[in-house]
Amino acid sequence: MDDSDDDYIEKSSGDEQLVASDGISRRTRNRTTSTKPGANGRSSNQNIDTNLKGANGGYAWEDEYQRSWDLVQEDEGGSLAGILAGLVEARKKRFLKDTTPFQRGIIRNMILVLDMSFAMLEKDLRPNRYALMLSYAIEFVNEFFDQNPVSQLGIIGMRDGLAIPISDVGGNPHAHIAALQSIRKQEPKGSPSLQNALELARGLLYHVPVHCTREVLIIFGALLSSDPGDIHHTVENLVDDKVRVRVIGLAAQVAICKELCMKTNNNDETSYGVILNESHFKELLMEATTPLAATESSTYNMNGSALIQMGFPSKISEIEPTLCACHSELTQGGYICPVCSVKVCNLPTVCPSCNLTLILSTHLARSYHHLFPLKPFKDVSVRDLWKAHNCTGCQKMFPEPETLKTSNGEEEIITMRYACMSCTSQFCIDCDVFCHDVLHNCPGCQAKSSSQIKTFKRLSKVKLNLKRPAPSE
Amino acid sequence: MNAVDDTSNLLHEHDQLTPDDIPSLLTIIIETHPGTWTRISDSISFKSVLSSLLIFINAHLALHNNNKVAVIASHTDYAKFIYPPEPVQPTKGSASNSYTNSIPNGNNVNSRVESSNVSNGTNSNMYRQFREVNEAVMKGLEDLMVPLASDISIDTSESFNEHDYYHESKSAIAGALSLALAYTNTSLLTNDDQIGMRARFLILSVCEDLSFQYIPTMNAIFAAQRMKIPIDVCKLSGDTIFLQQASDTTGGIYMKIQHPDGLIQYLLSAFIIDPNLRQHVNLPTQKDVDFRAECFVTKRAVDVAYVCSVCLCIISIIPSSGHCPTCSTKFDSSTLLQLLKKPVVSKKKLKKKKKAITVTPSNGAVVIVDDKINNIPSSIV
Repeated sequence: MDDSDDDYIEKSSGDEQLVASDGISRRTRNRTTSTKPGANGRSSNQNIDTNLKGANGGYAWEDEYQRSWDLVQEDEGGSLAGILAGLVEARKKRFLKDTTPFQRGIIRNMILVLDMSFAMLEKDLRPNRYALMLSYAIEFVNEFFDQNPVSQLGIIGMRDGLAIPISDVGGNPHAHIAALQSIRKQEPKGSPSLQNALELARGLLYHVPVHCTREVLIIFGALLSSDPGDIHHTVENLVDDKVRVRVIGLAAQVAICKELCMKTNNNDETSYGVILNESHFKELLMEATTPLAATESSTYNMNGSALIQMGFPSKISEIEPTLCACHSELTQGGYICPVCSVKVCNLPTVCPSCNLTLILSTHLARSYHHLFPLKPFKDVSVRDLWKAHNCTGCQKMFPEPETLKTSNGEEEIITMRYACMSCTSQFCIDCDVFCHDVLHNCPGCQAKSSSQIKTFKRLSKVKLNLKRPAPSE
Repeated sequence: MNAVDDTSNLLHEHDQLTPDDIPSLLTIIIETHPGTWTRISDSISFKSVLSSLLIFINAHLALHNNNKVAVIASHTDYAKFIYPPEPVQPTKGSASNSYTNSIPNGNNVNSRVESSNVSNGTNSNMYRQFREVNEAVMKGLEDLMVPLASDISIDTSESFNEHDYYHESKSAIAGALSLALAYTNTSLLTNDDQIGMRARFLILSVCEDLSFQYIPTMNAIFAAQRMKIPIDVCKLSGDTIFLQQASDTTGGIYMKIQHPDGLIQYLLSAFIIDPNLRQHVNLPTQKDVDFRAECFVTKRAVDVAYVCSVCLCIISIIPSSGHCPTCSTKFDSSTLLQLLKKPVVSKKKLKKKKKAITVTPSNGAVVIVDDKINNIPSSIV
C-alpha cells in the first residue's frame, strides 16, 4: 500500500513545465473546468488547490511561463533605471520580515538525510540531482556551522532501501565535508526508505539533552519510499521524541512527507518545501541554517530552561609537538581545558578527560544575532532629507531622490535612503543590505554617542512640530 | 617595434594578474581617548604616534598606485571618519555645526591646516597624495580635540556625564569597526578597477576596557571574518581580550608594543606586510591567545562559567533568584540543584568510595586469612 505515491500534487517540475512554456499552455484546457476541485473526487485537497492557483485563477502550471528577462521592460524613455530600482527594492524586501526576537533553540542537533536513490540520477538539475545536492550540501555544512557553532550535525544517506551513515554526529565541519567529498563518486541506486532513515536519525538523536533541539533535514528526490514497516508509527514516535523534521522535495509534493512535516512541526506547513529551480533549492536549504523558534509546547513541558556549565580554554603555542587528548595525535599548539589541563586540538568539543563542554566564547557570540536581530531600516520620507547628505556607513553622497510612476499611475518619490529607527542615521541601499545580512549592527547606533542621538531626535521633533499644522489648514 | 610593444604589454598584463599586484585598502582605527593618552604620555606622546602613523600611511600609499587608505577615530563614546573627510554640502538649515559652513575644498580649510601644521612637515613641496592625506588627518584630529576642550570648560549639564568617559578607558571600537566594515564593503563593491581589491584593518589601541560593547564588537569581528579582512592590532598600552580574539579569528597580527618610541619601526616592519605575503613571513604575532569569556554579571573574565541555554549569556555565579539575569527565563530547579550540589557531593562520594575500596578488600583479605588461619590450625589439629 504505497499511498504516499499516488496522490502527489505537482507544484513544479523541470522538463514538463519547460515544454509547456513553449506555447502549449496558451491553448490548454478550459480553466473553468479545471478549477473545480470536486471533479476529481478530491474535495479534501481543496485547501491545497487554492494555494496552487496562479495569478490568472487557473493552476500555477497552466499560467504562461514567465522568463526572468521578460519581467524587465523598458519604460517610455527606453531606460531601465526604474525597473532596476524596483529590483533593488525587491531584494531589500527580504530583510523586512522576521525580525521579531523569538526564543530559539540555539544549541541544535541536526541529522541531514540525503537521498541517494535512483531518482537522484535525473538530470533536471545540472549536472544531475545528485551532484548538485552534494555541492549544495557542502555549502550547507559550512553555513550551518558558521551560523550555529555550538551545534552538532550528522549525515545519513538513503540508498538501496537502507539508511547508510555517512558521517558521525559531530561539531567539526571538516569531517562532514570530507565525508561528503568521499561519496561524490558513488552512483546513486536503489529505492529510498524514509522509515529506515528516520529511525536511524531518531536513534542518533536519542541521547540529546532536553535543552538542545532535535532536527532532521531530508533532501528527498524520489516520489516513493519503500519501507519495511508502518511509517505512520515512526512518525508518531518522532512526535513523541520531539524531533522536528524538515523536508526539501526535489520533484513534487509527496503526501507522506507533508504529513511528516505537519505532525512533527505543530501543523506548520512551511517546513516542507518543493523546489522550483536551483536557486530556490539553495534558498530552502539555507533557510534551515537559521535556528528554529522554540514552540510553546516544547518549552511548556520543561520545568525551566537549562543552565549548562562550559569551559573557555585558552590557546597555547608550543615549540615541540605534543599529543592531544582527543585524537592522540602529535599537534603543535592547541587549547588547554581549564579544569583538568588536558590539551585538545579543536573546539568546540567535550573534554575527553573531565567531560566539560569546551567552547570559544566567540562561538557563543556568533549566535547572538539570531537572538537580538537588527531591526529593519525604514524608508526615509522626503521631509527628512535635510538631516543628512551622505550615507552614515560608506560616506558616499546620497543620490538625488527619484520620481517613479507606480502601476496606478501615481507618482512616487523614492529617496533611496533608509534610516535606522533608533538613531535616525540614514543609509544607502548597499549599506542597509550589508548591515542586515553580514554585520548585524547599526553603524549609526554604535558610532554615535547618546548625546548626539538625543540632539538629533530633538531637532527632528522640532521639525515635526513645524510640519504638523500644515495638513489641518 | 610593434612586436616589442606587444610583448611588453603582455608582460604587463601578466604582472597585473599576480596576486602581489592587487591594490589594498587599509583602514586605520585610532583610539583617541584623551584621558588615556594623557595617562601614557610619559612613555609615548600622541604627537609622535601621529607622525609615525602618517609615515606609515604614506608608505602604504607608496607601495601601489591604487592603494587606498581610510582613517577612523574611535573617540570616547562615538566614532568618526577622519579620512576620507565627510563630503560637505553648504546647507540652508542650521542643523549641522559650524563645520558645514566651510566650503569643502576651499582655500580657507587648506590654509588653516597648512598654517597650523608647518611644524609637522606638511608643505607644498610634498607629493600631493601624501600631503592631502596628512592634512586631512591632522585637521580631522584637531576638529575632534578642539570641541572637547571647550566642552570641559564651558558646558555644565551634559559634560558631567561625559566626564565619566574621560576617566574610564573606553572607546567606541564597535562603532569604529562597523563604520570601517560598511565603508570597506561599499568600496570593494564599487571598485572602478577590474582587478579585485583587498582590505585590512589596523587598530591603534590604547584603551583597556571594551567589554561594554561586547555583542556589537563580536558581530563586527564575525563580519570581518566573513569578508576575509584581517584585523591587525597595535597595542600601545594595556591589554584587551577582545582585540586579541579579533586578530586571532580574522588572522591578523596582535602586537603589544614594548618600546613605544620605536613605533615607526614596528609599523614598517610588521604591519606594512600585505596580507597575501603573510603566509611567507614569520610574523611577530602573539600566539597565546586569551580566550576567556566575560561574565555578564560580574564583568570579570572567567574560564569556567554557566551558560543559559535560551539566550547564551555567560554567568560565573548561579543567580540566587533562579532566573537568567539577561532574558529572565526561569532555570530548571533540578539542574540548578545539581550544579550547586555537584562539587560538595562528589567530594564526599569520592572519600566514601576510597574508604569503601580500601576497607572491603582488606576485610575480605582478613576473612580469607582468618579462614586460612582457622583452616590451618584445624588441619594441623
